[in-house]
Parts: sequence; structure tokens; C-alpha cells
Amino acid sequence: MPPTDVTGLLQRWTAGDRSAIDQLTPLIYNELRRLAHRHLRRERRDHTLQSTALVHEAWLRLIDQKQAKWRDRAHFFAVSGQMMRRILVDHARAQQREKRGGGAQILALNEAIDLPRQRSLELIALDDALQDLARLDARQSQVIELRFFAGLSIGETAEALGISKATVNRDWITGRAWLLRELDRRGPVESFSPC
Amino acid sequence: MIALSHMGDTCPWEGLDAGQWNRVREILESALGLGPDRRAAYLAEVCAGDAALRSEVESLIAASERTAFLDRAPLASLAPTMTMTAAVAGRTIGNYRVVDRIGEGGMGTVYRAVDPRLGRTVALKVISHLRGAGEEKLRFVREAKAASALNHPNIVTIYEYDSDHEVDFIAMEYIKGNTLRALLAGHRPPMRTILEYAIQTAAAVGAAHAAGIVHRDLKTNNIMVTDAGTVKVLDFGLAKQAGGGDIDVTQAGATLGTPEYMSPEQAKGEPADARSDIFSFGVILYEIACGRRPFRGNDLPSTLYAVVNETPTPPGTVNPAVPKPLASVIERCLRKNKEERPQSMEAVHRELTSVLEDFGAGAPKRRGLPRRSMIAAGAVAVAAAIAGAVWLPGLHHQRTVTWTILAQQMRDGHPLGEEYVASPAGTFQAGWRFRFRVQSPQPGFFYLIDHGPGAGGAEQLWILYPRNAAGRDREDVAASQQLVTGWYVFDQNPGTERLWILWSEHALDPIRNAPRDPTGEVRDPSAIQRALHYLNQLPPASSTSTRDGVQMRAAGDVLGVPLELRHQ
Repeated sequence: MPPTDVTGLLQRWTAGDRSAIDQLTPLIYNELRRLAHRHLRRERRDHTLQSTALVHEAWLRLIDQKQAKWRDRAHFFAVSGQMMRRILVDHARAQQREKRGGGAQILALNEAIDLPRQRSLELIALDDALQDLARLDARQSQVIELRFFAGLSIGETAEALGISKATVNRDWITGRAWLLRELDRRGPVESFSPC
Repeated sequence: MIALSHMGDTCPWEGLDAGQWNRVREILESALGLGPDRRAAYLAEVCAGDAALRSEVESLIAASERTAFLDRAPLASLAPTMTMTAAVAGRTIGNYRVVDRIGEGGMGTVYRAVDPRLGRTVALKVISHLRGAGEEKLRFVREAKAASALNHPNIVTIYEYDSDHEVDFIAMEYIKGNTLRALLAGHRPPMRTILEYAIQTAAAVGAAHAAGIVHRDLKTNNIMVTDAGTVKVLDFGLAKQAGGGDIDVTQAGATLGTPEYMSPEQAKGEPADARSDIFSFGVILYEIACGRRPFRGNDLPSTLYAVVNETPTPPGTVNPAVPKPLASVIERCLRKNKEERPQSMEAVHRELTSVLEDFGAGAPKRRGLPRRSMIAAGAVAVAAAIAGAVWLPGLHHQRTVTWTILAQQMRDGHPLGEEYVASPAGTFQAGWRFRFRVQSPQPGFFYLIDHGPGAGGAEQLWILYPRNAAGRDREDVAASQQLVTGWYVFDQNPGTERLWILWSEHALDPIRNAPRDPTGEVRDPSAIQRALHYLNQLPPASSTSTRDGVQMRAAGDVLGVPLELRHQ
């Protein structure tokens, strides 16, 4: 897949075209899977494979840097965080639908992103709770999105949002507490029914 | 104050608006910053009369203290790699409540924790990267099994090996004391005392060998000395039970040991046996006797080359005060060919015991007196003489630098009170600012490196000073000039910030030129590894508190001390 296609889709998506993500997702999945396999072949088994680095590498390879016109590094991180959230949550929902016998097709990337059942339920519940947190404090929900879904460090998150690392740290600690408490109150994840 | 009492019991959060959440957050942050013992009083005061608010905050505190799926990025599922976040104070792992982080050991982070069932303090070693059923996990399990099979007063006691939500950990005896490395770097105990530590170490390793267990990573950093003077050997991390086991960890052992203490056969990737430990022990003895390690290179390959090919300067040449029998044991332990080394730890132990006895007597042996009382008689005076300059080599090359931490408390982004001279042993709050003041009678170059608390298990490194090569920060300091750095902020996860203070005779280009982002963070993993390797091979420096600050001294052209600053 030529990089420009991904770039074009991404531009459409960030411009508000919601259908673009449906075409974008499988492309990114495939690239991630390919890279993961390549790394596993090349690296020794006891070598740490940094998944964040992997995702960044996938982005850099897929997207034509000259055309993508990231406003800056921060913008790149922010978009990558949103993307990863969409990809993982959609994937989790698809897995759940399939388990319930729904008609939706699971994308052929289970080898690359094989979420344990518990994990996918957690992701779906988290996604909902994050939307509620965004209503209380939009920035705090972004901090969680970048830290958790995009796997950014505190320093990278601070850079992406243009705030201090101390603020990121505070947002993370209290936001994390709020989310965990919320998920508890909403009942066990096992019985959570998506949609 | 925020009123939450009007909210329904079933969904109290639904009534929470952004303003209320802001207030709850503030209270939550303050409460978490206080530590468990002072929280109740604070909450009683701030939530006076508002039970709903208090229970809201308390439920959030409880949630914040759990380890949860949120601490592992979902991306970890992409590969058979799981990253565990650094556990923070108050979290529970297994049945243990984490108090604070106390260090890094082979493959894992070590926390001080409490077993509430027994009210016992334990050291909890948590593996930072788990690779499913990979080699590292097998090795980790093996460590627990190998070490827990050993029962010796000089080997750390293992209580249990378990896992909690895929997080593997070992609970072991909590040792109040110092590593031998720290003892050699700080106020160096008398030589006689250090030799006694070496003898206890030899006894521990000898006992392990007798049980068929090779340590494989013996170094001053995993020899602990309790405050009562008892040696505890830690980290049978690479131990291999001879004859047993279903995997061969020999291959990986070559890359896992610590290069300065590694035997030539391990450096070449060949199998290690008990005699490899004898070599490593020889490196430790050399360091004790000479004040520096026998094999030192500027980087990993040159250190490994030295281990494999170079004969170290004889101990008697480095320090003429080293007794001949001690120099002889050291030289034989360090033979490249393992057949030429002493063939058992027991033999080394015997020789050292006799060195100690001659050393204590300081005069021709008087027959007829029991040896023990003879040693006691001469020990005090001799130890006092020996502990001085004779055994501390290279004093004529000594460099000195005095540093102070200036701290500023902050609230809501504004300074609170005056800047003050902070004790490095104190606990700082997130958001507080601090800076360093340095001065030396000699001209030199100053560097400040932050190894971070390493959240997420990854190694992180910031060059705090100079901020960047082209910036305003100048690392060169004239004699007696006072250098004051810019402000830094404690802003990472609560924990212990590991800083390195470096004072050098010449500019340290690898540090000055390391690629980094505007915050000073070095992101290139290989650059981080090189920097850490460089720091860890620096010769030990001693630190003393003076009226003007902490004075550090050491022989050699680069002086470096690690410093741990706790913050909440």
C-alpha cells in the first residue's frame, strides 16, 4: 500500500470524514502485524520489543511525512493517540460481537493484536468512562488517552499537550483513580455489554 | 468546600460537574501527597460535615492504590512483551503493600514492602519486563528456586515466589544496611572490616557452590552488609543449578553479567562454573585492596577486551601496602585460564582467613596464645593505622567538589516561603523546584544527570546540566567559582529520583554531545545504555557533609556520585 493512500485517508479523517477510519484501520493493522513479525524474527527472544516504538515506526513508514503536514511533533502524537484508541476499542468491540455470534467480521489481525477477552471488555468499558471523564475535564481525558492508548511517556504527553510534566503527572494520577473507581461502580467488567 | 450530599446513592458521580470534580481532585491530590498516616486527619478537617465528599475522596484514594489494567498499555499486546508500570507507594502486589522503591537488581526493581499478615517488612523484587514464558521468566523462576534452596546466614532468605496478575515477584528478607559498593565509595570502613566482609562473602558463595549453585554475577552491588556487620549475598539472578533445569541459560549469561566483574569465559560467551565466581570474587578483592577495579574500559567492548586479554597491574604495584599473601590470592583468582585459579571457594576462604590473622597481628605470631584473642588485642590499634591513607590509594590525585541543593516549596505554581538549603535525605513534593550550587578549589566541569524513577519499566535519562550544548548553561567552572544551575521541578511519578553529580577535570563530550530533546531527555536507547555504563564504571567517590554542603572527593580525573532524592 503506497504511503500516500494512508496519508490521504488520515487527512480526510482529521478533517472530519468519519468513513475514512474504516479504510485506515486495516492498513495500520497490517503494517503493525508485519513489523511485529519482522521484529520477532530478527530480535532475540529475550530482547525487549518496545511496542510504542513499534507503533511509531509503523506510523513513520505508512505516512508520507512531506504530505502529512503534521503541524508539529505534538500534533503527530495527539493524532496517533486518538488513532490507537479507535483502533484498539473498535477491535475489542468487534471481538465481542463475534463472540456473541454477531455478523461483523473480525479483521484478520489476531496474530498481531490478540486481546484477551478480559482485556477487550476492559478497553470497551474504559472507552465509555473516558468519554465521561472528558465531560468533566477534557485535558485529563486526553492525558489518559495519550499515556494509555498511545503509550507515551510523561514527557511526550506533556509535549503533545503543551503542558508541564507536573500537570501531566497530576492529571494521570487523579484521572486514573477516577476511571478505576468508575469502572468499579459500573459493575464487573465481565457482565458489561457493549453498545 | 464542595457539597456532594445531595447526590443520589446509586449514581453519585452523575451529579458531579466539572467544578466539583476540580475541587475533589484538589483534595485527592493533597491527600495522596500526605502519606497514609496523615490522611485521615486531613480529610476529617477538609471534609468536615460532608460525609459524601469524604467517601468520594476515600473511594478515589482506594482506587489509586490498586494495580490495574490501566498501568499496562494495550499496545503491549502487540508482541509477547508486557510492560509493567513501576509500582508506586501504597499499591498492593500479592499480599504485600509497597512502601517505596529501594533499588534495581538483576532483571527487576526492588521495593520495600510490608506483609500485613505478619507485620513484617520484606524486600519485594518485581520483574519489570515479563516475556510470557520466555527465557527471562524461566530465569526469574530459577533465581527464586535456586536461592530459596540455600540456607546460609550470609545468603539472603527468600520467603516466597509468586505472581499477581502476571506480575512475578520474589519476597525476601529485608536487609537494613549498605551494599559493599556503597561502603567502598563512602566512608570506607577499616581494611580489616572489609576483609571480614570478603571472608563472609567467600563463605556464602562457597556454600552455594557446595549445593551445586553458581552465582554468575558476583559484584559489589549484590553484596549487602547489614548494620550489624553481617554480609548477605543477593541476587542469585543468573544462578544455574548444576545438573538440573530444563533450559540452558549459559548462552544468555554472557550478555547478562556485569562486565567489570565478569570472568573471561563469560565475556567470551562460554559456560560459567564455580571458578567463574572465583574470578569475579578476585575482581572484588582487587577493588578492596587497590581502590579501583582491575579491568576498566571506556565502553562495553573495551572492558570486555580487557577482561579477556589484559593482565591487570599487580595489586602490590597499585598499592604497596597490600600484604603479599593477599596480592597473591588476588592474582591467582584473576588468572585468565580457570584451571590456574584456586579450584574452590573454600580454598580462597582459607587463604583469606589466614591473611586476616596475619594482618590483625601486625607482628610475628606469638605462639601459645589463642589466635582469636591475639587478633582482638592488636586489632584496634592496627585497624586505626591501616584505615588511614595507607590503604586509600591515589590520595595525591584527589579532587574535591562541594555541592548543595537549594529547594523552593511551591503551591499552585507560586513560590511558598524562601529558598532553602535542602537535605538530600529529605522528601520533596511534586511541583517543588530545586537547583544545585557547586564549588571547587580546582577548576573543572560540572554535569548533572537524572536517571529518573523509570516509570513504565523503561530506562529513562535526562541530562539536567548543561541543558544543551548550544544553550546558556556552561559546564566549565573556574577554581573557587560558584556555579548555580537553573531550576528543576519534581514532576515524575512519586518515587526516588536517581541523580548523578559529575565533576570532571576535562569536558565530558559523550554527555555534552548526547542527543536529547528540549527537556533534556535522552531518547536513544543505545545512548542511554552507554551513559549508564559510563556512570557505573566510575571509581568510587567519598562524600562528607560540611558546613558548606556535601563535599565529595575521589582520586582520578572524573568524580561522580549517585544521589537519590525522594519525592511524593
